[in-house]
Amino acid sequence: MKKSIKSYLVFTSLSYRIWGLVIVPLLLAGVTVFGVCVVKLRGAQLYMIASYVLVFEILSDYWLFGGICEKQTREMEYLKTSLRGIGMLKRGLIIDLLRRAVYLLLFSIFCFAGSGQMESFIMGAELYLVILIGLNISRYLTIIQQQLLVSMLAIFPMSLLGLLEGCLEDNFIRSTYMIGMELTILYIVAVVVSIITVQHAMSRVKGSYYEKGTE
Amino acid sequence: MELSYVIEAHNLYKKYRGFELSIPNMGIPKGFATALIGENGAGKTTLLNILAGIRLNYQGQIRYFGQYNDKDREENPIVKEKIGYTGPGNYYLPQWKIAQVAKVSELLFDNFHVDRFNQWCLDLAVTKDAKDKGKKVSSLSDGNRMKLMIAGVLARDTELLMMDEPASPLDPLMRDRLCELIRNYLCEDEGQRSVFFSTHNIADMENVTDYAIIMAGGKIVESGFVEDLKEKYIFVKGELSDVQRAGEVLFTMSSNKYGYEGICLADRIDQLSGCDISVEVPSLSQISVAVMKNHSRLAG
Repeated sequence: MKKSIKSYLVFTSLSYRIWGLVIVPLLLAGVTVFGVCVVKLRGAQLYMIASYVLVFEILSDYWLFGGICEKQTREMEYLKTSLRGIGMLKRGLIIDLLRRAVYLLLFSIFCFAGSGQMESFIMGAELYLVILIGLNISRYLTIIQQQLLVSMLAIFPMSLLGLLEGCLEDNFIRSTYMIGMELTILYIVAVVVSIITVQHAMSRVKGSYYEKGTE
Repeated sequence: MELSYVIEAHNLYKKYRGFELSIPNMGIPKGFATALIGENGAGKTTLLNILAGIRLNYQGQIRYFGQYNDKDREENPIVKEKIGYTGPGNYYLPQWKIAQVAKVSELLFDNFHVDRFNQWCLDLAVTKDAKDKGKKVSSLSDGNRMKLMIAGVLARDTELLMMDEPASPLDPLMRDRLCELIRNYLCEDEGQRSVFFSTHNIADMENVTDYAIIMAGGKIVESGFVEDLKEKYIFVKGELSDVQRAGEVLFTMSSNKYGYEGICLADRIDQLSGCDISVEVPSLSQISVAVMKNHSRLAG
């Protein structure tokens, strides 16, 4: 695990660690606590805060693995000069997803603690999935404005999920069992999409060993 | 003295977007500096990438250090530990800082020494002091980025340096320094170390080159120790009246109102008997240009 964390950290700059891993997450945590405990946001309203987290998580990836799926940037010849290079990248990608999952779980816990609604965890799982889908797209992009566009566009599916959540809240009373089932399915899907996200990035990087058009 | 090879390759073949690399046999002699010479598009980078394991789609067999094949290169870490590769293009992640390059290198290689890396960065003027280690790779000029790569490979205990166009982005002073670094690298381990570098600017690297491989159109068209090549080819100067006869013998020829000059095979010099000529030992640069031109004319 220590080796994996070191592998992750070599891809992070000091600025990213300070702003991306500490300061902005703390600010978002503060906004969440304020929203839940003071403004008393509940249910579908929490998706508004989730959208801030969504934009941040996709946009900040620009300074981490931005462009990793795009041919010109993924060549990373230095990593290929060692047998450990590609493995190091994979460990970094995995730890990055674990970090995101932990942060989003904490976000869900804050929401739950303030609202008492188990649906907070459903929102957290949906947020994680939308972020991963966004990353699979944004990692082809090398210009920050393009990544900003993707992070903004990702708000639409998140909003739709929020609308759906609002409809469900108004029209159904979901039992703890139903929420548990929904969460289980979402977590299984999250694990599968996480594996796909890592494999997708790795296949793009490994693909750079093989030039297209070779007979 | 029996010659051994640090790399031997047989039946190397790769067809890529209309370009074909086809090398039946090649060897990089151990303990020497070998220059891979060719014009732009000759296949130098393609060949280097294959030998370094940066590109894996090719056919053929490669043998490293007399005992490892290319399958071992991808499975046994010792092979890549022994090779220090520098190349053009996206070598480091652009957002890395110089200090991060050192950290990454420590994770990638067992034989990387941070203190040596820091010293090389100072010696090669990549950094002036400890603060400069915070510089981003993307903010470095092409020349400084190459120097950073050189510092990275020299900070390791390797047996083979493979360098793709190391001199291209460097200023003349640094090119001279690079030649000195290569000579020192080779001397340090008494014939156990080798250097293989590509260049299309042989004039700057000639004084460090022991063995030359000349490529054209994806093929090796000439190879040998420089001393042997300088005996095989001859630089001829003659009178303008003999230019037509000389044109049939010389590979390359330039003429003006005073006479002609060019390169030919030494064993064909008899064909110019009776002509008023003077001969000189050609430089490697002259030989390379003549061989490449000759191959291009035949191919055309």
